Amino acid sequence: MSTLTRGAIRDRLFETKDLKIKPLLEPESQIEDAAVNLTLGTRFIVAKKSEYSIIDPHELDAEEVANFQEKITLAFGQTIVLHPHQFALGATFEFLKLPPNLSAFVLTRSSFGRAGLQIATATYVHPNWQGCLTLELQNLGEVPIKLYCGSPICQLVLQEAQPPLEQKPLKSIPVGPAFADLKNQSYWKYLDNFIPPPTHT
Amino acid sequence: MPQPVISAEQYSLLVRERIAALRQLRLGLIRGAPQSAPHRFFDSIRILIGAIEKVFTNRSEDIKSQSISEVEKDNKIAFAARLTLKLLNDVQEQLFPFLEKLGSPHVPLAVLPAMQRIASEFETDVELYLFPASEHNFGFSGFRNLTRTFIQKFELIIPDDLKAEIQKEAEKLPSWFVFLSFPYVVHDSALHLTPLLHELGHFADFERGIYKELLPIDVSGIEAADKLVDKICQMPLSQQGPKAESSQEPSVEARVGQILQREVIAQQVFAQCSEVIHSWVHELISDLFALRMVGPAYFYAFATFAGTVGLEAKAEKTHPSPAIRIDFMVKELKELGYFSEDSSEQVRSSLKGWENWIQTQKLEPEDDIALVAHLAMKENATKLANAVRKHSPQFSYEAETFVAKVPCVTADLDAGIPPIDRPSVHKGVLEPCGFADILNGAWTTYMFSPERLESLLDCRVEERKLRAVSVLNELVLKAIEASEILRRCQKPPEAKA
Repeated sequence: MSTLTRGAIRDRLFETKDLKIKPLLEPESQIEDAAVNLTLGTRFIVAKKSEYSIIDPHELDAEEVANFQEKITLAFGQTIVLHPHQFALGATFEFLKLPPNLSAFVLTRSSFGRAGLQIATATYVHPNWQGCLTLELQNLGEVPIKLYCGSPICQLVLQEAQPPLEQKPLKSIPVGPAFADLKNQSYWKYLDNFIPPPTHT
Repeated sequence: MPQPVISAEQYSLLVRERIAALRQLRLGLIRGAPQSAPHRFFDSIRILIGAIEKVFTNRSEDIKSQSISEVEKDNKIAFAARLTLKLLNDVQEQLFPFLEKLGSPHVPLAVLPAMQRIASEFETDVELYLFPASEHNFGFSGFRNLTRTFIQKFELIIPDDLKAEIQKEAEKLPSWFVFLSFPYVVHDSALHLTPLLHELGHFADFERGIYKELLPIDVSGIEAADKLVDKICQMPLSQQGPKAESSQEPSVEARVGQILQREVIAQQVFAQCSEVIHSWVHELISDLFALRMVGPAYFYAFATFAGTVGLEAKAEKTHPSPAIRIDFMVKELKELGYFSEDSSEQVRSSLKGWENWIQTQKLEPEDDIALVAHLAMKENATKLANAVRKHSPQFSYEAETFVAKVPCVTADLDAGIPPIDRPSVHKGVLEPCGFADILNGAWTTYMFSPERLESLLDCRVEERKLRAVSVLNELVLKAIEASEILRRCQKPPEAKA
């Protein structure tokens, strides 16, 4: 499994065109030696803390979780402030479509990481995936960070995936941050057998 | 001269109270407003309230310094205070509702930069805002030289130095504040937001004065108008009131024409017709403007919107019937080449279907005044279309452009990709897709080939169509937002400045 470097990335983007990263606002600076810088999009989801009880994946589906969330849309260039230990969902401004034979990792750009920002905890992107990547933004530092929509906060490292995977129907094509439906998952079929019934006093 | 019941002092206090309350209200709205809220409009209201306060204070001091009796002074101050309160009421009634709605989370910020760019083609110093409305309709409100318009009621009593001071403050504001409203339910639908372009057409119409090339239209030469005057002259006077059916006497009813001179009746009828014509001219200009800007996309958006409220709806005083509007638009699309053999086959065939539908419609309204307006429009159709063409040379979305640019947009949408950019003539460079191309690709996919996008999605069959429309709207909004930003990034720096 090899990492794609600048020439190979450009080749996939502009020659074979099977890799899509749209838009590339500044291709020259965004395509680095072995990664592509991605920028922060304009849509966010933050928790309405005062209304939250608990996220229980067993009890709440994505629709119900949405009741405890606030969706924020900003204009490109506007800012969102992330306070110490605050968590928010954001998304890349760029829309990606990976071909069947490429997978990717999303990493925080070190310059932002040093300011305390972490952009993702689930960093792997499967072959054939398409959409704007949801970023799990968290300020691990001690002081608030102002994030500008459009700033290059993360990078995509692309890798060959062999053998190529067949394209399956898509569950969604997100263009902004998306909260996963934790309730309607197949693993509950076996896990339910082990979960004790709720006790009432 | 009697002392006013409410003393001048009380009036002055009321003015100061109202000013303080409006300032507090404004600050409260600013605190609760999102970043995307219209801060320059908030500024304009601050400047406006400040100017009104200055004018009132100045006027009060001026009155106090006059060599007149105290009672006269009180009366004059009370009068100035009442005028000021009226002005402050106008500010509250006409401007504050916008402040509340513009901060709504339902404002589709993704389309705003593209709309702003189009508006700037007509006037560079314009600030455009979108806001949701509870009525299922689209709307346009515009303020040109906001402060001056409000203050001019005081024009005669403002001394020159104060006028200059207010003017200097007002110069910080844009020449135009334009507000376009849309129904709440379409806030996240790129497709169903398309009629906003008609509202933008109203801005172009007012800014350029396109309507002045047509209005006023003389209706005296229209036979139907004369017939209407005759009809009214022949109307029995009692028609409006209850008839004296129990009367035993055979009545010789007086006719309207016997009481009023024909010229007087004609004047009133023509005035009513002109009022309707006035509204219709604005509507048809805006339709043709939107159509020339984005071609079939606006046509399909209008037809779909009209379909939801009734395609067979009758003409109203404010709007021609959908059938009349569609007739005008089909003719303009023909002019833009959409009926030629080289145009898109799908579009051509659907437009022919609409042309046939028009044949089945009775375009002549039953209402007499609407009929006169319809005939006036028919007579001036070419003039109207030429006026729009003359004032919007930069917008001419011809069939040739459609054929060259829309297929790659639909190809992206079919693959579930937002059509943000496409290869340019320069190798290795991607150029942003045009706003009109994106909208036409969206409507083409929606109308003619949604099944390709549907086939990409993993969901229950019964949900698939609705999911595909939702995904389509999201992809299109993303494309409109991102392509506009890409366009700005690719602009040479000097052009940005």
